[in-house]
Amino acid sequence: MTDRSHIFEGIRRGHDLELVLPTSRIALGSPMVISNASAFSLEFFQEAQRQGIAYVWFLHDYTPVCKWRLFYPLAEPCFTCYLKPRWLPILMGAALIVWLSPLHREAWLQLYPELASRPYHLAPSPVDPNMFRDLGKPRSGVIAVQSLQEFKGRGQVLQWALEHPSTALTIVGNNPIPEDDLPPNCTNIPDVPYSEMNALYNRHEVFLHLPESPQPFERTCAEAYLAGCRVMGNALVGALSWPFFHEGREAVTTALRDSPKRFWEAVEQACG
Amino acid sequence: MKPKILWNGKDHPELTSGYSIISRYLLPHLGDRYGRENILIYAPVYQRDAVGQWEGMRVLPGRRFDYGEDKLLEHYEYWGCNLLITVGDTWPLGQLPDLASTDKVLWIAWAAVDWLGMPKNILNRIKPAYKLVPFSKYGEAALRKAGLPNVAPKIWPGLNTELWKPMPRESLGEVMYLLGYAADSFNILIVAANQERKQVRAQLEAIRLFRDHTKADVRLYLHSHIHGERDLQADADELGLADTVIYPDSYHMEQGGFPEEVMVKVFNCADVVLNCAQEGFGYSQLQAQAVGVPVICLNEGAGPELTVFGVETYPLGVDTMPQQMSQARANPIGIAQALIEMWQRRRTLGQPLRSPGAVRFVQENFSWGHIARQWFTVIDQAMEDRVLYCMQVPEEHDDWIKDRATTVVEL
Repeated sequence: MTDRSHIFEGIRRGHDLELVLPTSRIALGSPMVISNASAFSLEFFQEAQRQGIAYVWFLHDYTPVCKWRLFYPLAEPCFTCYLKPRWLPILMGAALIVWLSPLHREAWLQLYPELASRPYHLAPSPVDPNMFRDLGKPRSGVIAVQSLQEFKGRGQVLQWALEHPSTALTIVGNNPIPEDDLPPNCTNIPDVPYSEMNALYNRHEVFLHLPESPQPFERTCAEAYLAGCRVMGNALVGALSWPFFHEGREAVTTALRDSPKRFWEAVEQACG
Repeated sequence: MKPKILWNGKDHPELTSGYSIISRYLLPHLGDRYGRENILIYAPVYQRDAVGQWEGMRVLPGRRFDYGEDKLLEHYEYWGCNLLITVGDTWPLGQLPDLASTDKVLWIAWAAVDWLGMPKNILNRIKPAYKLVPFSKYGEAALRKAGLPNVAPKIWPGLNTELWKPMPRESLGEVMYLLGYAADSFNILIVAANQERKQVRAQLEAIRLFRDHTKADVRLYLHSHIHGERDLQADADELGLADTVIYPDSYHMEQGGFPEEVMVKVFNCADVVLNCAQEGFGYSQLQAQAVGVPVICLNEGAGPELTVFGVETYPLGVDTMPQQMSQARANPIGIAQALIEMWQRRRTLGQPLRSPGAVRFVQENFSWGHIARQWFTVIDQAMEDRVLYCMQVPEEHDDWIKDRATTVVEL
């Protein structure tokens, strides 16, 4: 979703974009935006550096090529991980590093403080404000999305449900531990088409998100907020670390709508 | 990090199969190094319905199948293991490769490679292993040729070299008699499971060719279950070998076979041991040479690298099994020629052929202490790699995260 918005904006601005996959035969030569890049090899980047090709590293997770990159434990082995000396020179050589939120960058700098000196841009995940908006209908109860994954806060969300037995909690997304009974006030809806999410948010009063691992952004949080939900989260939600989220819906609408534009302005400046 | 090893040896250490021998002799060494409480033996063949004990180690039961992966993986989780070692066949495995590919199981396969080429379905099964430790140089070469990056140097299974030593035939008169052997007859020994892949039929055909050609006084002791994948007695009868073959007592075979001490005597009575199957390892030829007896083997599989005293025979063709696994087919004519060569050498010498060099080869390379030391290196490295490569999601421990997880933010 994020990449698509940025790609469309890039084309609109007249860039001749070529979408390259790790399996493609890549003819190096032009500036590159590396979206996440966990599947590209170290040698690929080393060759790009050797040829002096400008690249922007657009990070979506943590730690390149780490198999646990969706989690962010800040565990002791993370600080001495063998991947760091391999990838740090590649990250340091980027013309620009793009993170999804202030929290995302802050978390990265815990493990890679060397990157503090590098040029960066913060780009919130774009959300279409025409698709996610308040329909003005009656609301009740609480909704959580993808919260049954452990790193997304399964423990905290189910604990919250137990502590609020009289509040109905709708949990959207697959339950990876189906044999564990959910509290009686929880309803699990495994699969909801994306096009129906706005209507679903609009039936709920509160969006709950309590992850246990830092989340780079969490677009569901932004979508629910634009759809009129009150948001109840914690300080591990990247979206909530953006100041504009505390300035009202209009500020959020503007920031998320304009994110692709700001993204390309930063890329164009970095790559000349 | 200390290993807690789930050892999938398939057969209980007290049985008499090759799998059992491996577990019986190697596991006490591993137990002494890593603590016997840290070695859990999965032995679905024999151990059922309850957890047992053997030499201070737990023996965990299986359920439905010899390769009962369902229980295997439950055991791994329940007992908090951090390393799984499987022994032997890898091709029947189904669930394990999937779990290993997501790092839920750290899996080392001590693998038999007893097929030609590398069928894709097998390749996909063994790719996710952290390490493939082949039984043989042959296996190591085949796995490396297939481009697998996780291949470790081969480790041969070992032998109790204190027990497997030459004995003078003169002291074995009673055993010679029971096996149907005479002092001046040409005494052949086959020790093989009754499985089609062991190619006993082709070897029986070779013995008939040899006998008909030389008119030698030949005797065969066929140590196998007579009724298994083949009716071996019917094969021998059809080939006119009824008066040449002696079979083991079926009752004893069904009760787990003969103790190793007895088998040492049996091997010491033979003039030559036949093993012309494509083997992942091939215990019988090792046991033969441990007591100085020559072997006739197939020039495919682990046979040649284990044979310092004997004759290699060339295969006749290839058989392909349902899993697309192909194996070399033994050649009765080639085996018969090898028998003739051995028989002539024995006649020329006027006494049984024995090789001190073969005995030395086994003593120097196959003692269990020697094999165990190679395993210590593999296991110690696995434990180092487990930490280095983060083989499980690291526990979060930093206050930076915990503080934020409990800091409420509301809009």
